[in-house]
Amino acid sequence: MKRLMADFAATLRSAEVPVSTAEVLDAARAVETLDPLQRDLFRITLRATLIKSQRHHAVFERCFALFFDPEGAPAVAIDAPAQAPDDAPPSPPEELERRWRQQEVLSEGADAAEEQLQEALREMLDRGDPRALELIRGLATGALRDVPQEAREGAFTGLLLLGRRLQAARAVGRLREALRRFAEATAAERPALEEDAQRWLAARERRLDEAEALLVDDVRARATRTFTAAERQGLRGRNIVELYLRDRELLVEVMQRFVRKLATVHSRRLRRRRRGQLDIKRTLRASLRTGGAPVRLEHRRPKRRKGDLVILCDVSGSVRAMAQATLAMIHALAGLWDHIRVFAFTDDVEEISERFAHHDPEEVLRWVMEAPLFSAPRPSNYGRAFRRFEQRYGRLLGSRTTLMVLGDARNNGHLTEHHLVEGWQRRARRVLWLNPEPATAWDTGDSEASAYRPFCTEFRACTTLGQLEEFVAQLR
Amino acid sequence: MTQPDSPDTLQRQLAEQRYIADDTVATVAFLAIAMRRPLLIEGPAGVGKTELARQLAAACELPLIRLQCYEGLDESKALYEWAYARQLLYIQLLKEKVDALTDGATGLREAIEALARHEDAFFSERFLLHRPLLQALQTPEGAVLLIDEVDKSDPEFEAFLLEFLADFAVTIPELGTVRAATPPVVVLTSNDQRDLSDALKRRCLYLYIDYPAPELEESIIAARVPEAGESLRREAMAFIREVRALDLRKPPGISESIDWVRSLGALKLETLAGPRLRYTLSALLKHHGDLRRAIDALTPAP
Ligand SMILES: Nc1ncnc2c1ncn2[C@@H]1O[C@H](COP(=O)(O)OP(=O)(O)O)[C@@H](O)[C@H]1O
Ligand SMILES: [Mg+2]
Repeated sequence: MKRLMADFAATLRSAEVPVSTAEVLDAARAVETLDPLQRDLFRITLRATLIKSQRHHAVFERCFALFFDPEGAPAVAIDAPAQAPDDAPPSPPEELERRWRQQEVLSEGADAAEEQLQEALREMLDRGDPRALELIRGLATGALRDVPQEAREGAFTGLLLLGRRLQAARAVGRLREALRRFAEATAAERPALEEDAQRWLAARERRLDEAEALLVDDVRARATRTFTAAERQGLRGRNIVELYLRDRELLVEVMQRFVRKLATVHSRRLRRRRRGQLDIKRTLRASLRTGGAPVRLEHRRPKRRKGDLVILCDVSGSVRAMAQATLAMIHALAGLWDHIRVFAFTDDVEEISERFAHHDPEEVLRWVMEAPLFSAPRPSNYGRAFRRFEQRYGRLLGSRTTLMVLGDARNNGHLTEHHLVEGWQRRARRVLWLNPEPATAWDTGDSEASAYRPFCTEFRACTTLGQLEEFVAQLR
Repeated sequence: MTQPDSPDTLQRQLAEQRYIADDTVATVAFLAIAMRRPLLIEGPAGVGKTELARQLAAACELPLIRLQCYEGLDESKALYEWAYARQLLYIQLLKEKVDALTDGATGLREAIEALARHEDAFFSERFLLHRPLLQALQTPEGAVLLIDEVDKSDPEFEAFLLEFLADFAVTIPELGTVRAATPPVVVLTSNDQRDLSDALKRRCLYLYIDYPAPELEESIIAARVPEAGESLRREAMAFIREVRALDLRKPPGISESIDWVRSLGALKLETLAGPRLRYTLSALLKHHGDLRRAIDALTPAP
């Protein structure tokens, strides 16, 4: 059982779900607490013991289906020639054999199938009979001829198959234990036999390993193949805009992960600073109420000046994806700022702070990813939008304000009005500009990157999720 | 305590207590009790996490001990604290006795020594404030310990919890070690505002409760508000679905649904058609803008 669990855990890990050994042992223990022949019970039990975050549930379900469901399980040809094992167990002294034959292995209440299985296993152990190996495999994969036809079809197969495989795994485990107990007992009773018993045990354990490997190998191979490099590597390297267009669901999923991570790290950061030094004056004042005894220690509240953040995002066409992803991440860090104001622009500006400020992170994410920020998409006009912003909201920019612009600076040939940006940089603490295009695309076509760039404290390309995460994580 | 012998039994028992648990909830809760593993429940607000802990206590016939977490919660509020003010009060009232104790002392040091010999009297159970975690260890027949909304506590507290969950024992320097006679069944809940530490999660069984599917919600309402007739309940469920389809700031959760259907019963409404519907909606929607929007979109003009 532990072996089966460990292999299943390996499959999960290959899909980037963290599973610890302690959890594997828990899963094995939990399964024994329940009736494992009920498929759903089994699934729920594994999930509760191995998966500790709802974000991994989808992956778990996929792995579980691959690992334990019959569809696509290669049918085993029972009469395929099996390889004879090349290391036959060394012939042990007569006595060892005789003792072993008397050893009871089967537990009470085992059913016919289990008995059959146990027999086959023992056969294999004792004689190295290759047919026994096939029998085990057949039992484990449900491909045996004696499985009734109707049971082989439909949903029941899954249950049956699972049950068989579990039974087989349990039988192997039981046999292994019996072997060990036997070897120990023999060595204790007849010290002279100890060395032989050890060798005898090792050879048989190797055979059991073989049998166990058979029980899981082909399924595992199938399962791990599905989660190859493609899924594991480089989500961080993926292009945001492309992800947005091709696989928005995946983007949302990844964003959720990033956002959550940021929120966690950030809450730690804030907490660490929260408690200030002991405030002696206030402690003494408070102690007057308790007859001069300092019952209550007062701490100085650390004063934090966090500063304001103003975000201007181009929501036309291709920039939208990056703007949305950035907004979602910034929201997770809202606590770093005293105030955040968010403005969307194309050829005009519109304030969208209100919703941004009030929703919980998951909702903001859904909102920025799904709802149009502007009612009708219009071609952008940076010059005009900047003018409008300056007129209506220019006063927001002061020495404590960080202004962040999210845009590709593609201006459709309109006036750039870059002097406005110059003025903003002078008044604000700093101006950060994120461009969803790689530097090689700047200034090509109608891109005006170079017109704005000199007036920004920082002007950088942000095309991949990794770059975005890095930028946001450093933001203070 | 009575321990359920299968997930099914537990599910039935909970249903009798009018808590509707689906197979997943019943199975994982059963495992937590059978294996004595802490159970971590995550999910949005109002899906019945806290209530599940309460009902598990009832099903196992164990007392429920609850620790509500918040920012800044520390050991003195969670575990134990010396009743400092009370100790001082006793000293004040017993001033003469204290004087007598230190009477023969010539210097400060001697006086302190004289007092120290009586320290035990002040650091005894009498002056100990038992907070929930300590209580959970000292309930002889065991308990269900609910650690509610762990995600609100600080990471340092989480680290402390981890230790506590590992051996169910605490050491009070002045009194010695208190070990649980029967380890409590522990339920932790989290609204999932931030990730808990991996170490804590590893120790727990994990259960995620999501918003209920419509049929499940209907059974919950049927269980909680039996006085509402079936046709009204059906109508109400359909209405709630419409409300949730609106673009709202805070869509109604289960507890709002329950309150609302209950209020319909209290007003003796038999159908939702009619002008009084709009006056009931404040039970369903707690945000003013949402309420406006629902009234405009879904109710007839008065
Ligand atoms: N499955 C359920 N069966 C019965 N009542 C439920 C169920 N889920 C939620 N409730 C009701 O909803 C209300 C809110 O549940 P609560 O446990 O406080 O939510 P949470 O702790 O998840 O925020 C409770 O009063 C409870 O009566
Ligand atoms: Mg709660």
